[in-house]
Amino acid sequence: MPDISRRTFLWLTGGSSIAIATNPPRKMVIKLIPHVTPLENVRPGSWQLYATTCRECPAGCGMHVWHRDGRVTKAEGNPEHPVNRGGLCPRGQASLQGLYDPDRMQRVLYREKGRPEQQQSWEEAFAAISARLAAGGRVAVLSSLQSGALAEVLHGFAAAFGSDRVLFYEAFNHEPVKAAHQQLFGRPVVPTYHLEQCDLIVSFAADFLESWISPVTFARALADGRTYRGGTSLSRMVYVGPRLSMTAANADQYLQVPPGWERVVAATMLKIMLDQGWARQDISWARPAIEALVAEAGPVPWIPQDTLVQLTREFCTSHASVALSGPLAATSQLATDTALLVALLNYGAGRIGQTVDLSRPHALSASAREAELELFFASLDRNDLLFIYDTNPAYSRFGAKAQLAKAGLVVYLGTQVDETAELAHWFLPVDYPLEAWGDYEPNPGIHSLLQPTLSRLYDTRAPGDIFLELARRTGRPLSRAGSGNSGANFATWVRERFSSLVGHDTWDAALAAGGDWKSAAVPSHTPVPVARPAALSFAPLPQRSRNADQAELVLWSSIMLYDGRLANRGWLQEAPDPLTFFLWGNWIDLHPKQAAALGISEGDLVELSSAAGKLRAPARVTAEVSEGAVAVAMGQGHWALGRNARGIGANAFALTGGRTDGSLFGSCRIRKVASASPETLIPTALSQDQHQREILKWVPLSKLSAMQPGEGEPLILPLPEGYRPDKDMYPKREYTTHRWAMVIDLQRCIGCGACSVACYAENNIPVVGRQRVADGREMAWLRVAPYRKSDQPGRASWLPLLCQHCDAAPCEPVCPVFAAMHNEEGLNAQIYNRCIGTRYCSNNCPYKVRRFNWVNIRWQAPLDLQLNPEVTVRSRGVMEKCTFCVQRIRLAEYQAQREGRKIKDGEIQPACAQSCPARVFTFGDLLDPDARVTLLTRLDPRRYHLLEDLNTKPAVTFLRRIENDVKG
Amino acid sequence: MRPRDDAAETNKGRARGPLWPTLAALAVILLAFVAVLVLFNLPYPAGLGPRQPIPFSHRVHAHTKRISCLMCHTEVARSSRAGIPPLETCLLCHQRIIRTFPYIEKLRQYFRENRPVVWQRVNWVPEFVYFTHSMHIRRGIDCSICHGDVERMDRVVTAHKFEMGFCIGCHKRNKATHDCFTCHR
Repeated sequence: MPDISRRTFLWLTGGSSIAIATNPPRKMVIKLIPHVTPLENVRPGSWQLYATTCRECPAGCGMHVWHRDGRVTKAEGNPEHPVNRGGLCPRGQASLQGLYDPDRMQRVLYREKGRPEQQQSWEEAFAAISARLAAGGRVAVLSSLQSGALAEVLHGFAAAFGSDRVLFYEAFNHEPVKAAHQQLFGRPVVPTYHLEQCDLIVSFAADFLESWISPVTFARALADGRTYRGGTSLSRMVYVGPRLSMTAANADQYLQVPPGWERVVAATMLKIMLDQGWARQDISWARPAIEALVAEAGPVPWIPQDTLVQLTREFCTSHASVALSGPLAATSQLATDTALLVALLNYGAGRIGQTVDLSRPHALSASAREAELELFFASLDRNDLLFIYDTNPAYSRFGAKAQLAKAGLVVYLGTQVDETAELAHWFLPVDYPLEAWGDYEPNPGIHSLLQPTLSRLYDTRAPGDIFLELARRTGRPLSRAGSGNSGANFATWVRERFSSLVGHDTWDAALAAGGDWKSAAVPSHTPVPVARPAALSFAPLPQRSRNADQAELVLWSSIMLYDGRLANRGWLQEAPDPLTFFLWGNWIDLHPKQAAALGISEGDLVELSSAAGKLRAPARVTAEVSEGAVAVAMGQGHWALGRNARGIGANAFALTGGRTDGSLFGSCRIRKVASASPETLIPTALSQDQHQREILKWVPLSKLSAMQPGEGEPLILPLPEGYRPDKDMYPKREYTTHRWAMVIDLQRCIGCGACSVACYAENNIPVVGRQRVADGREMAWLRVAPYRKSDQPGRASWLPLLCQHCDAAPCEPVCPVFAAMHNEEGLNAQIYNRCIGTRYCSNNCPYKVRRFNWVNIRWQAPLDLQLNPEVTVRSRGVMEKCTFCVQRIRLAEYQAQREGRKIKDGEIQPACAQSCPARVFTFGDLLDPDARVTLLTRLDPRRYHLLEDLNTKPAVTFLRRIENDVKG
Repeated sequence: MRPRDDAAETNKGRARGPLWPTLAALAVILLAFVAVLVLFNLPYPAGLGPRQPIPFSHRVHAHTKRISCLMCHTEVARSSRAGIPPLETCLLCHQRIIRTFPYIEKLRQYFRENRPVVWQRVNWVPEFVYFTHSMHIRRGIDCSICHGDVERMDRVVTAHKFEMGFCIGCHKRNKATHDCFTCHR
């Protein structure tokens, strides 16, 4: 005991007695603030759903945004929307974190060269910019991809000032696809691909489940196609490419080739098609070029010829098939060759007009072409007034930073100060898409609407209104063609445009539904285009370097971050990469042979340098990237944007844009910088090998198709009938009302992790940050752990693992304070206010799905506005876990009781089930004999329980993944 | 009783004394009277809650005028919350009746300025408790069982401390659910 002085003693006792005597009041809301006039259709304390459109990527999925008491808390897929049909990817989920981003810009800023930035008012901004406009500055507009009203306004604005320089800059502009269709059919478009009808999908490095065109649509189509419905036919997917991506791991067959060799595979397939006479359209005019390429390359050394013959036959003879070309960010000649040969494959097999619809170009067709961009950037000079809206060329385009600096005045309209905004003179904060009116047409006929889902958080304006106001002040007011309404604001413009396209009386209904897409359902009767025979020539094979430190670059787009615009979102940074389960950062994939030659081992800091630039990142040594290639994900390595993005990972765009030397992305030098990188790789799944534990089970299709419903493994059900007196230690549990249960179809799961991000959003799960994740303190209630198939390299499957809500739950009897309780409806409840944090439950849980709050997480304002008011925010020292979204169960139960009816099967959708693009989850009541969940649990021959031998009687039943071993 | 006796004796002794002892005596009597009233809780039989920005009396509205609780707390039967009425609801009547009473004038002023009245919260449950009004109303649980005799309250006061014992006691008596997940989630 240390000596304590009289003074200290009095200080301590005095202080504590004052603290006790004054009894500081609880920090709680003690004010009730009602409306003055109630809002229409808004009831305090109840949920309202607003239909709007996701603008996080060009796919344009429909969203329902949950609104409560003036704030929005959850975004989920609109089940009626034709693009996503209810699913929503992690990026769409995280749109709320974009809205509530603590680093969002709130004020107008002006920055003169060499001076500190200063705050200005909107009035000053408008006055200064319109003065420059009136003085005769040349207008140039660069924007993210827009269609509909904003595109009209942007074009109209430029035209009013005698300019046609309006470009939609997207880092992923699908240039090769457009170039290929331009060359063959005279249409520079990104077509609509109908994957839902296909028996065979051949992807040439197109990661269509992750970020290629419209991933949610494709995920649903793929999952629907490979769902087992009896019989022996399942749609097949084959992936040809240099790196095992999430899409590749989902393929029935993954054919690894070096980067750029996808086109040789496609050419070989075309040659087989021609030789065998399987072509349905005349492509014989392309034979010389194809044969020249095949002859130069010789037989593809990595793939047996038989495999290709088999694949080509299947491609040509199946009912419907499609070939897709990638990779996403490549614009080199090799990528165009791939796209061209793939388009020829589709054409030759008669797929153009069947599964490839050129008459319905995707909105991405309007994104700027490479040649246009080069001209645009090169022509910028002192007289230019450059308006940039919501796009970031300074980060993603080689040389753009220097070229932007040449413009006389740069006005940036956006929500975040990203790398491009840092170069701008004026920064005008705009509404987040969730706060604004707007429209977007991902495909012709799909008129998708955006509406404000909450009132503005800050003093921001709609981008359309800013352009209209500037035009008005300069004396050249804009009006929509045919309306003559020059005083219009942007919201009226949107409405007028919609009315002129769809009709006047449908507005209200369309707003409630999220848009109008009746005309998209009408099949188009345009004739199938005929390819224009042309002399094709393909680039020669790239010289493959023999140097050990040289490698060909492969860039891939991360499913979470897309092109990097979303990198400041905690949910996405903390969402693990589907295949590696790394989070918070990126890494360099290196083939073991090359790594051995350079003395690099896993986790070493490695530098890649190309003609354009260099980057440093930790190495991951894996044979999942082809030999002689290195792969890096795009989207990380920001030097602006916000606190989560800045300084995390390395910017892969820095390596692109220089000369590609005839290879796909160019080649680069590898250099080991240090052993052990300061940015260590943090995985949250420590092993992707099952070590013969058979947690994730497969079943061959040949065996499965012989089984009848009800056959297969008998399960010990989490019902009274599952009680066996000789085996069970604890008494039988009876249920009177419901027994909630879930079925997870592993065959449908593509591993995207949308469910996990949805769970974060719904259940107030904190983002703990890089360091704490490294300490093993991540909080995800639901993880979609990848497991490699041991007997088949290049194949993986995912196991969505959440609390199993066991009937004989091992966590319950060990809790000394009864915080882990079994509830009357079979849920395994964790009562936070009882929990004292012994963590016995977590130690005893065989599935390791419980999470402990090691620290109090402070929700950075205004991120706290996103918190779900129906779920407790947990504090330090409390155990938490999946609740099957009990708040949604209660919502539905109470609603049913108020309406005096029973709960319908499928009425309750936990957040994970709602957001899943592939419809993996089925939730329902096991006591209802007709519920889908009951039928699947009792009858599906693929059913199994996880670690059933422990007799935990889980309420989650898994359906085995199917190995498609039946040759078509 | 003692002070009064003393005062009487003094009066006998001096026919014309100063007035202040009489006044003091009266004051004491008055104080005693008030003390008795307060002691037996006679002026505010249902208690007195915190001061509100507008002294709205539930007693006058719900008891004297016999207005139903649901007239203003419209959400109670269909939502988890009972709902605090918007200002517009007050003006449904007070646009026509008792327009000039100072506090109602203040209310109308608020309405004209589109300014909400910020009420002091009286009844609350901790943030980890999820109570649903509509389910209780549907089962025929009267408002007064939890909120006390609001019809006799001028300034609404907490009638019961909403601790878990209070909830569980009632659930036990009515053989209602004991599922933890009913209120905690």
